[in-house]
Amino acid sequence: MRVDPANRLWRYPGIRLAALLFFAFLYLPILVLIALSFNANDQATIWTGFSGQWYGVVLGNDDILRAARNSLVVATIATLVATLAATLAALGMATGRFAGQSLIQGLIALPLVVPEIVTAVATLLLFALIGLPLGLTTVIIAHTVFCVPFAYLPIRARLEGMDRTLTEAAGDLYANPWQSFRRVTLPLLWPGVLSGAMLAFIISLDDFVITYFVAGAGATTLPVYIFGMIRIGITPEVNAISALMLVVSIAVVSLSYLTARLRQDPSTSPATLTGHETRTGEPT
Amino acid sequence: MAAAAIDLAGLAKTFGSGEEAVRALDQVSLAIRPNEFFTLLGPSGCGKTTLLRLIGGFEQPDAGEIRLDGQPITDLPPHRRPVNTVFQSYALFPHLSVADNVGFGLDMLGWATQQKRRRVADMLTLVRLEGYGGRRPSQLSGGQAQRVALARALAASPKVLLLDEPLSALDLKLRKEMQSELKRLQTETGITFVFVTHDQSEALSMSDRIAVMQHGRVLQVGSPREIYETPRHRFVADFIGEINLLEGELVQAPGGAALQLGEQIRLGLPPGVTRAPGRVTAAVRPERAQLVAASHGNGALPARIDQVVYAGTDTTVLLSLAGGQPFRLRIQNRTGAAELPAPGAPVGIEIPPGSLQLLED
Ligand SMILES: Nc1ncnc2c1ncn2[C@@H]1O[C@H](COP(=O)(O)OP(=O)(O)OP(=O)(O)O)[C@@H](O)[C@H]1O
Ligand SMILES: [Mg+2]
Repeated sequence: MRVDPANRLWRYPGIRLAALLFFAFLYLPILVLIALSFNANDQATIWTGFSGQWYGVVLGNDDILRAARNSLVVATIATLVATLAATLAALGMATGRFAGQSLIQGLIALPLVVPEIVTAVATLLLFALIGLPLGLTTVIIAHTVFCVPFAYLPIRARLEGMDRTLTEAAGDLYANPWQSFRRVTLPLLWPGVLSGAMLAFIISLDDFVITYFVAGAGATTLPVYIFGMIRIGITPEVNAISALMLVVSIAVVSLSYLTARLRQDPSTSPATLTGHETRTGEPT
Repeated sequence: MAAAAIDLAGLAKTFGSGEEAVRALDQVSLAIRPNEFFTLLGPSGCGKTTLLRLIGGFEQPDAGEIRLDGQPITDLPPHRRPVNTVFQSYALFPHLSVADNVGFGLDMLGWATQQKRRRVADMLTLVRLEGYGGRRPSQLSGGQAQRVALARALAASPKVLLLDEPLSALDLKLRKEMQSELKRLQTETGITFVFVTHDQSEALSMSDRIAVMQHGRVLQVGSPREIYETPRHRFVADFIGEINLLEGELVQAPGGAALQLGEQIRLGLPPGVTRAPGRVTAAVRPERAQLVAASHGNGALPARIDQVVYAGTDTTVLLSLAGGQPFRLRIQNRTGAAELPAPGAPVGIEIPPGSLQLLED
């Protein structure tokens, strides 16, 4: 890392050490976990030699595979539905001012600060009250709901940064409201939708508390399954699944990043978009 | 006369309500002629943009009617109006190439691909941007973006083109260039232009006719010459160019109407003044008054020179009248012109009858 000597932050004593400690705490355990997942010993914490055997064990375990499939099914459906709902909500909020708008804005974002355990108990209570048997369906419903605010925020931010005269220009050029949405709003909104969906997917894949409460028999997801395994002790198998989940998460993020890049839209990335506006909008 | 291209009848628009209500437009009626370069001129906040947005359909009037070629369009949404706009921020679609931007309207109108491609190429040639079709808006300079916006708005040959201060973001040199470019495009395409600006010299040099606006009202409509030489309102006189105001008594003298200033001085007014005698304000442009000797007599205003400002093509003389009011006079610098009296010297100001213009307040 090159340090700019002019940056006054670096003059504070101990700032390097603090930064170093922060990154060490964050990433060392993950690195150790990945290393130990290749441990030949069946005592997870004692290194004896390199082996890929635990990945074989994981991939041969039907229960783990079923949990993984559940996780993917839940995350996929929840992401699709939540992103759609979030997009519509963001568009609705952007159409103009209406009574109670800021209240609704708050209500959409509130779940982000409500303790998850409260949401979990409340959701379970709801399912019990309406008599919905716990299973994969209840997990999907719960996930869809708590994913909405996560998907909503980046979409809303993107929409707020969008020049409103662009849709007026589309209308001026004979586009009816639907064409204007299809040809102008949506393409410009797409990066926001993509990051919203990505966030929702990761959050769903990762969720434990709510899932633990509302998952019935046969609806176990990976995090819940890993929790069950860990009660017996940290095994190399647990390390291997965790490492795999990390890979999947990174893959999802990279994939969405790459698709955004591949659309080859230098102008839809936020940086160049604002760059263009300042370039033509101010006296040169 | 042919039917107006755009007929605005009694347009009114108020934003907000209660205490915060802003009357942006107040009983605006205008007839804009076909093939005309028509300019809306006025200070910031006078309602120019609002009027343009009403014509474009982005805003609905509270009262009044808009007709295009005699057809009422007041209730049509923007995409049903054969009117295109050049937005002040250009509003180019950042995710589309220059060619796709220009072709956007044609796409929406269902043009065939071949035809569209040809038209786009023609439009880019028209605005002198051949070969720029593949670029992104972010890769254009301000002047180029401006011309793409023009090409895009002209592509579907609208009946009327609306331009909201399209040159305000450009530097002076580019601005001059685009002014003549706009004028050329308007003449070549024969499309009616409704142009918004708060720059009076831009308005004077480009327009066929100008509407001067203030506080949501149209004060005067006329050719640049009429607006400059015969302003009817004090605001119009003040807003456009420099002007001297003289307050006096309107009297009917044997030789016709005249302006009586104080006891002695009486200035002839142009023929055809029908106003009743009484207190009036008259205006005279600095270049229309002449400097004469102090001993000139009753037809001249006695004054004293305060300052002489030499400015190359002309010289501005700042004077004080007998009552202390300032007066500004401009003299062309010709070869062999007589030396001007020094500051402090008493002089006379002669105002030819045709140069004095009576104002309504
Ligand atoms: N959407 C709106 N909501 C509230 N007030 C508005 C709105 N649009 C315009 N106004 C007000 O209406 C008045 C006229 O505005 P308008 O934009 O038409 O002025 P303008 O002549 O175009 O000024 P400028 O030269 O600064 O662009 C202003 O007082 C403005 O504040
Ligand atoms: Mg304006």
